[in-house]
Amino acid sequence: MVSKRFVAKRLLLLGPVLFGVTTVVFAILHLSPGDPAVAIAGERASPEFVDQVRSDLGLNDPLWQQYVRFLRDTATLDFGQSYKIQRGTAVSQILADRLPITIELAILGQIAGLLFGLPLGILSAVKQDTLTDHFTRVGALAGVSIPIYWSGPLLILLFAQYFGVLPTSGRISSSYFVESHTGLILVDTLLEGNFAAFKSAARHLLMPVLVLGIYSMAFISRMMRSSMLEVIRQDYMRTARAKGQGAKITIMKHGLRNAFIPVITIIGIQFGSLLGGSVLTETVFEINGIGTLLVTAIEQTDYPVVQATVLVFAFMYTLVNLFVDFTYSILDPRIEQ
Amino acid sequence: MAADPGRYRRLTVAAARWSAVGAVIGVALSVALLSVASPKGATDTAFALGALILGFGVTAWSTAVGLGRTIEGTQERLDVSSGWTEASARQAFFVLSWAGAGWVVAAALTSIALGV
Repeated sequence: MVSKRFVAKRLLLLGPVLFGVTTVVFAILHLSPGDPAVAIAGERASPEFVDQVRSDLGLNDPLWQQYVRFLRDTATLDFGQSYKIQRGTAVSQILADRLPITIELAILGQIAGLLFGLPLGILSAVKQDTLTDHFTRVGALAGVSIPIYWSGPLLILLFAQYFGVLPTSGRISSSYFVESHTGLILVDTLLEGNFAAFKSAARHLLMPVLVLGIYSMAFISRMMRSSMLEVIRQDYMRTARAKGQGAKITIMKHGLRNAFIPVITIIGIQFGSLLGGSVLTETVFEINGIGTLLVTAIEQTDYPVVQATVLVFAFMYTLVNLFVDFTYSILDPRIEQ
Repeated sequence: MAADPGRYRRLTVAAARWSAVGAVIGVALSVALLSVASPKGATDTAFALGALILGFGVTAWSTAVGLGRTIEGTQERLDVSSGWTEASARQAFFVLSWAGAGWVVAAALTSIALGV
């Protein structure tokens, strides 16, 4: 059981992280070139109209006043309205529509990474210095080194263009209409009982998930190998084997739980990379999650959307790490000390 | 573990010292920028730069506190240790955070003093 003190300490850290990210985002947007008033009014707008827009947005106030106002609004989850992407729509509404898409992608990517990374890491450790080990290690190194913006188009070329077995982009074939219940396309198709649509969604998501999964898998397998190597040399593992327990059972029963502890922390850090990776993956595969939203918002200087999206990324990352911390402390209560 | 009574005093003195350093930079930069920008432009730029330092410092400090041990452990396990430690990171980002805080407050006060 996780102690209340530990939970409180971890929750308290959420505040400074979010404050820091909010401040950095605010500062960067105000230091970057371009006038939001001109962006909203349009390049051909009259100077009077631009001035009017600037005044309406409070951009004539000193920056410290704008900052205080921004902090206050953010604290009440009021991110304002979109200037450009969906003019006049509340940013929180835009995020609510797009967020499940990215969450689905990141979670599936993480699951794919775990599904392949854990067994490969264990196999590599158990068969240390064999051909399997060398092969897995080279594969892991390649997975970590290959950037998403390269592996994505490569997979599209291979599976969509060359073999023609998978679609190149989107989340589902345009011939299906699925009503959004959760925003997660796989769940929504199942809730509708439309299995043909589910199959189409799964085929569309396969490549983006694979791209995210490769990177995650490489890191996890590398960590799992190193952790498992340490664990299998422990006395309790030798004792279990000496008492006649089979190698597989010893590893699964005694080794896995202990070797898994450091890997769990990696999953938390990894999730941040998956979120960052989702920006590229969504762009490559034309998926309308918050990754593409961020890219479009930056291109169109839609400041409220940029600010809110970055904050959501930071919040999700912090939240996942908080969850990882709790899991970690359950598996190894010494961490609370 | 018993709390070190002198620790809070030392931290307070260090925070005050680095805030003062930040404040000096904030005022100096605001005044220096007056030669190339309007009073609003100068103090706004100085404030934004200070906010960048403050935000980066606070984010990095809290990340070091929350994930420092994990990062140390990961480096150790992957055998890629670069000499980075949680304690040194915390100390460095403490300095940045307080210097940034002094900087933004000074830039804001300068803008008020200049009647922006």
